[in-house]
Amino acid sequence: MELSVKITLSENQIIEIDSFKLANRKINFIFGESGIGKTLISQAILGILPKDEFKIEIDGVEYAQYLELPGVKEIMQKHFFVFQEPSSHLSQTQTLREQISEGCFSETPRKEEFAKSLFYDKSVAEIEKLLNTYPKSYRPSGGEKQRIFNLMSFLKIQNLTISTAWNGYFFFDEPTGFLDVKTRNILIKQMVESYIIDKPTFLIITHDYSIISFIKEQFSEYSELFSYTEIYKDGENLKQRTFDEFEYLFWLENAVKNRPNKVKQSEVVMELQSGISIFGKKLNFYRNEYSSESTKLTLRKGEITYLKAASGVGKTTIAKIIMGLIHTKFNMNLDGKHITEKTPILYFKNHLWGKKLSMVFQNADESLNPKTTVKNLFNDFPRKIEKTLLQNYFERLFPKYDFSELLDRKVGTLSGGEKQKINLIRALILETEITILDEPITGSDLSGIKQILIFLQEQIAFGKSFLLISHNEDIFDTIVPPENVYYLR
Amino acid sequence: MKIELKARLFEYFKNFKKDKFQLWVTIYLITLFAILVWDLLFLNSSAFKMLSSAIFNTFVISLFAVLVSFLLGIFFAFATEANFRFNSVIRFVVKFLLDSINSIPQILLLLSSYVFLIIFFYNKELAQILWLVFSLSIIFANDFFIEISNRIQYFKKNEFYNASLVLGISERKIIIKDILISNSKNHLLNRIILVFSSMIFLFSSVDFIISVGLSTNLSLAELPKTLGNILASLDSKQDILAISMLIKNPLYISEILTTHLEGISAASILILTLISSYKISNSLIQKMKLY
Amino acid sequence: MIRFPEIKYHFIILLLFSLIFFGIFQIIPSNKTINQDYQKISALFKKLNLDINSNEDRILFQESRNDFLSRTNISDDFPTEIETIYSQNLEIQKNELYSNLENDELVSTILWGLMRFIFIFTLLSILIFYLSKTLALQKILFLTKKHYFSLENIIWQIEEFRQFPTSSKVKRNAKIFFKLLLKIITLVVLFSPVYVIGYSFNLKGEQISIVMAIFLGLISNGLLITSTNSFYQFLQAESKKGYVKTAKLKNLKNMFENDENLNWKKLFAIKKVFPNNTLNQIYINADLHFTSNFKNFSRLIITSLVIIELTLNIQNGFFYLMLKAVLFGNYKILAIVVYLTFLVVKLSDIVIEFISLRKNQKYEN
Repeated sequence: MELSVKITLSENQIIEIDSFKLANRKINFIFGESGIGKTLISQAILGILPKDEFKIEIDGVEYAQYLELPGVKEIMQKHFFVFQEPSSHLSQTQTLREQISEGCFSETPRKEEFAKSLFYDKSVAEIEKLLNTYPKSYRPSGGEKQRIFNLMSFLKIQNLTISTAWNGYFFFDEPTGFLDVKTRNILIKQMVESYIIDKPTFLIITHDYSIISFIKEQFSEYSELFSYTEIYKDGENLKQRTFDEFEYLFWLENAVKNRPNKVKQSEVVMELQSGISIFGKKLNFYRNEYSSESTKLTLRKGEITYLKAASGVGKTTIAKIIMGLIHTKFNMNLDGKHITEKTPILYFKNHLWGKKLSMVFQNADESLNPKTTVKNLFNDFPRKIEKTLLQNYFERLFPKYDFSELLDRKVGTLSGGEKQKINLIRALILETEITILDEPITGSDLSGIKQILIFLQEQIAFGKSFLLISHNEDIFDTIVPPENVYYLR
Repeated sequence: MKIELKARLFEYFKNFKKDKFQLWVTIYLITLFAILVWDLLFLNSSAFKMLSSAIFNTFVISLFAVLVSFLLGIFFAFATEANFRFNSVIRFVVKFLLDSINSIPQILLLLSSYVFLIIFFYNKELAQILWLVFSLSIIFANDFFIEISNRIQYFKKNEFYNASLVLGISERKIIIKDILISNSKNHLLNRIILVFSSMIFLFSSVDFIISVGLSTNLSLAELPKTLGNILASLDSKQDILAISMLIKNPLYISEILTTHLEGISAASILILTLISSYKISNSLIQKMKLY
Repeated sequence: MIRFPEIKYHFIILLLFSLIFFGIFQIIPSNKTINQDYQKISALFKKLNLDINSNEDRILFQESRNDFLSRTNISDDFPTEIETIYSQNLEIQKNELYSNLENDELVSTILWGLMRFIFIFTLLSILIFYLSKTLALQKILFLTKKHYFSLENIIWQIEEFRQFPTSSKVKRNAKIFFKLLLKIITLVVLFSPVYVIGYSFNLKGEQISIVMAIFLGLISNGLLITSTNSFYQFLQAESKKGYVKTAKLKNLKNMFENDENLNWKKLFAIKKVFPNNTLNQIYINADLHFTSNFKNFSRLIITSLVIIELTLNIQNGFFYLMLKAVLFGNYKILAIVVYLTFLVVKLSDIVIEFISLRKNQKYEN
């Protein structure tokens, strides 16, 4: 399949790709920065976008006409799309069971079997209970909802295998974004298994490069089934190129080899005690994955500390507690001052925020006001930011950009990778002693990730302290010494 | 030059197909202007003077009231939503006040306010106008308060609020610049349009009620001329009654448009304003995707 | 048992407001001042052997007022507007119902008026709730199927004329002209304040029955069209949500495509269900939003009813009584009516919140 797609979002926002390629009856992985239009392009091709929302042309054909093409009509009966935000794509007024039982799923067999394999960590009774809930924004968790979506796609694949010999199109948009590594691996295995029977066409959009390592390990004998490409911005247009998985694996191997393994043992700038109770759970820090002896989380000057945890345990919650944004019982020493839940919020406001502490939030898209310009993002800081200083920072992370042009850009038109870099600059330019990094590479492509890693290492060398939270363990293990890794349980 | 103007006008009109907001604003302004020109031509000068001062009064009082009401809404929203300064007692008092005002139908509040006006501001025109602006703005302040605090609450849940806060940016600046100005101006504009039209409707209706119901027996204060009391006059009554003649004889329209102008004009301006603001607001919602 | 934590808040508001209202009620002067003046005058007339009910005597007094006053040693602050006070008193006596708070008939009139008002209000609310949902469904289904003719679209049809041969032009012209006219008339009627409609058809207060009042409430003051539009906007917002995309992936019928199961009977039914169509979930969710927002419309409905009663002079009405009382300076009745209406509004808030809560709780875990 090879198509040209043009989507006009607004007068000055157009997504255009001259040749979008998909290898038929293969498992296609597409990497690339977030927010450049991969999702919209793939939804347009499958005919999922509403007719009247944007102006869309596919292969020069108007969208309304495209949807009427016989081939496309057939695709629309035999396709499925796993959305990257499962929460907003489930109805809150139907139980999960009702949602996997209506329409084409009304008579699908083997539902329980699939559910059991995807929810490997739950008992039958627990799965029953889960299926009888109405999905709300916080419960079931993002990971559980994501598994439900993947379950639906497997059910539909099975439907088609039973009813027709013709292959369907199954697209997965960040299908593992909310899953921890173990669950992710089980899902990938299930995916490959359901693929192998009838070999439909799979498209998997992802930023999780460590999937590559897993596939190389597990499915080395099937390597011809996988295709890796990358979509990138080339000026105004989008282009697609082959992604060299071996180059990535080579880089990773080398980076780990060159990692600083010694710790400087400099002065302690922050200590957070274990035993933080939140949402009825007690959270503790451990020095290694399986130890039973909890410890305090220590942050030293000029070092990076990495906090690891399975998804949904509460990594982000810990970050927000440290920043004073979530109110719960905790105990922290920060730069000689004892801070607890009794410390008034005004103390955070007057002495910590932007002065001693800063933070990069995990959701690049949501942590910047999309309606303002890049320049305005640096306006109302507690101290005035000189333009030369700003330029310095921008040149490090945006080496190929025109600085003043970038400053005038609307935030909403930036890609996810660009936004996350600006988020980083915003948190670092204040030169606070400590910065918390919550998933600082989300939305970035591999070249962006490399730039960010180098930038962070420079900052560490200047004496800056970081607390890092991320599920991209493969990648961050390349810069964090094992001695500075903590586990949250 | 002429050709360029023509081309530009053509472009402007062609744009209507896409932009219904522009279309309805244009329809409203042109029709309003046409009614006034027609009245200037066919209405006697004293009646025209009265009608135009009524339109002026109604619109100016409502516009001022919308403005004051908007400011009050912002003030109350800040009193309840800006965390660092205010405590829960103030929050409760503001909510109680606004909730109580909101639980009395606006028309009864305005009627009571008129009664107050008749008792205390007898024959003082400026004081009457100020009082009307004041009471209208209090009555509608809750509409703005709810809209503004909903916007603030919505964005407080959004990550960029916290992300800016922990960089030491002041909460007030985040609320004003990021939440209200850059992310809510269309919502607020839409609210202003809706409040303006309900204000005109309510204001005219109460004025009508007062003029019909309270003028016969007790000596009535000399009230500022508005669309409502023009409609309430006996002449206008006859004018509007003439419309029913149209059903029997459609040709009667020429008579209506020349001799029964006063009442018809007041009624059409009122109805035109209501229809147009409904359409303008709807098209703004569609255009800016405010749902 | 359904939990309803908001009710506590409502009760606090009710209690506080009642206290404040009671205070205000005490401050409001009763209309005794006019009467006091009248008492003074009639006492003086008696002293002077004049008959206050005789025109000549009153003129006589007015003409040689100073003379009379000096004879009786009465100070200068004696009321001057004898004629006005006399006629006001006559009015007050004639309308004792509105002027005397101790009148027994007043209580029953107020209570009767209140019941009647609550009855009309409830009926109109239910009608508007049902009709706006039903009409909005028609609108969203037909607008997208192009059967619906919106005012703007009709205007564009005129532009397309040029493409047609002359013979069919006349026919099309006439058709479009009538469509346009019909549409404009409907819009004008729906947005007309009720008194404009009342005047055009020369409606008199006595002619207006309860049914008529409800009908007028429905078609005028922009009430039905704004509530329909509100539900329409909820439908529209819901139809753009992610779960609708998912439903289409499950091969459910798209609401915007033809579905023979989506017939008139289903659209007009009181309990609306649209099995196997994406519309089903869209409708359920829009209905939840609409129900919890219906409080705003209940206020509009009351405003509309007040306008109907006061501008068309419906006798014996709750608000008409209030207006008459104001006319005779009895502001306490105004306060009582405002307070009772406040109670009705709060009660309707509680009922709406309760219904909305019950609807939402169906989907709680």
